[in-house]
Formats: sequence, structure tokens, C-alpha cells
Amino acid sequence: MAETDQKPDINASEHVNIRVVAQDGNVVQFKIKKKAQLRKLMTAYTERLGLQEGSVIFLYDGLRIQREQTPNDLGMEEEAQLEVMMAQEGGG
Amino acid sequence: MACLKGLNWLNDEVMNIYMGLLLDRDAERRRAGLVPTCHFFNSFFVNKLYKDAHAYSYKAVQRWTLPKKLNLQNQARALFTPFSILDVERVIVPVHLGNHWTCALIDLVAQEIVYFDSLGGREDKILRALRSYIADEYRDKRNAEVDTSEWPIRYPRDVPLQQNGCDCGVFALQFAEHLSRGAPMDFSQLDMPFFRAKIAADIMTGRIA
Repeated sequence: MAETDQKPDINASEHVNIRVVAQDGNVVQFKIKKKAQLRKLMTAYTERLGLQEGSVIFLYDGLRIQREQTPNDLGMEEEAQLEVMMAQEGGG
Repeated sequence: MACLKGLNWLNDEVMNIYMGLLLDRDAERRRAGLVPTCHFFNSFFVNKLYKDAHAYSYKAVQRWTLPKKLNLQNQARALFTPFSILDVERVIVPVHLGNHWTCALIDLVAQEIVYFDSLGGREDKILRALRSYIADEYRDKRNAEVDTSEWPIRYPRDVPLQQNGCDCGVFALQFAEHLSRGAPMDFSQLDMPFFRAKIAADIMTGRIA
């Protein structure tokens, strides 16, 4: 009987789907390992949109993400949403 | 950091590191029993709440103030359980307007919104969005109906003004810093070189002296 019990799908729980939302509402989906540093996602995103790295900031629930952080570090759940913000400057 | 030198414009990094230092100092001040208690948003908050979509969106910032998120900013350690930004007396919000920095205050005690712009500008729509935000935050986090629609929006007449085209970020940080101590805005353009040096030193040591 035990063999027919459903085993937890290990592969599914290793990854997380992440939606990256730009300020104009444009969405790009990523699937990454929960233990992988988010630098890969950031680089992939900026390359894909032809942006310079460092010209944008990634936020998760309002907090800036550091490149070395992983989805696990940030307690990200399935369909977590990141926001991409253009860097800001001001003088007067 | 280099942007703090001379007459350079300030970037979001400096603004937000300093907001983080203000959060840390607020926790210290609370432990010492000092008021007002404050919360500080980062410079992207207004973009998500209103500016980017040019329409008010509470949903875009709903999760920013969940207790576990505030915990990550050291705020929950500062005496309140469960913690909500509605427990503080002042919510201080840096505002980025294209190439200009300003500072808004949500005064939860006086129940008013006050705006500090070193160029003397007005931003009714943004300030009304902040007012609506408080009502939505009460609804979402407290399950309470609080009508904020009559809270006054105030533009103080004696706000210190910048005399150049590059110090608005320094002014905005000083507005935030002074508001967080309930101190009068007793500074002027002449103090800006000193404040630039002080902000740089505070960031270097990781603590507002």
C-alpha cells in the first residue's frame, strides 16, 4: 500500500516561479532554484531588456534585494512578485 | 557615496541607506523612551502607491508593512507586538519627482499630511494618495474603518528653501531627520555643505551621530 502513496514532488518544491514586474506593468516570468542566488535572475532580466545592470533596483515587498540573496533567504513563496525600479536621482 | 561630494545630485542609494539609518535610530530612541515614534518608507514607496501608474494602488504596497517585513527592518523589535506602522506617531515618506527630492509627513497624531519641498512645490495628488493609504492600511491590517478623507493637507510657509539646483536630496533628508525628532526646521542653504559631510560620515559609520 505504501508504494501507492503519493510522494512529495521534490523537483517542484526545489524551484519557485517569480514574476518580475516593471514600473510600466510589463511582466517577465522566471523559474529558479530556491537555493540559487538572485544575481542570475537580475542579470538575465537586464540583458533581456537591454538595460545596464545597476540602472535598476529589484524590490521584494518593498525591500531591496541583494545579489547574493536566494529565494529561500527571502522566504519567497510560489508566484512571488519582484518589482523592478529605475534608479532615482535628484538635485532640485 | 560619491554623490554626497560637492554639488552632486543624490541618488536613491544614499536616500534609502539614510532612511535605513533613521529606522535604526528610531528603534534606539524608542528604547530610550523618546518620541515621536516613526516609520520611514523608502523612496520607491510613492512610485508604487501612486506615481508609476498615475493611479492610486493600495495593492501595490499592501505587503510592504506586513509584520514580518517590518521585522526585517528592525522595527518590530522596537516594543510593539504585533507591530503595525499605525502604531507610530509619524510616517515619513521621501518623494522622488523625476529629478527632485522632497519629503512628506503623515502625522497620525495630529491627523494631517504635511509636505516639505525645498523648492516650495505642491503635490496634492500624491498627498491625497498618502491619505487614502492610511485608511486602506487601517482596513487591511486592523480591520477598522477610519475616515481620513477630511485630514488636512498642509504646506508649511516657513520650509527652508534651496538656493541652487543640486541640494534637494540633502534638504529632503534633513526634513526627514528633523521631523523624526520633532525638531524645528532651523537650517538653511548655508548648512548644506555641513549636512553633506555629516550624512557621508553617518553612512560610513552606519549610525546617525
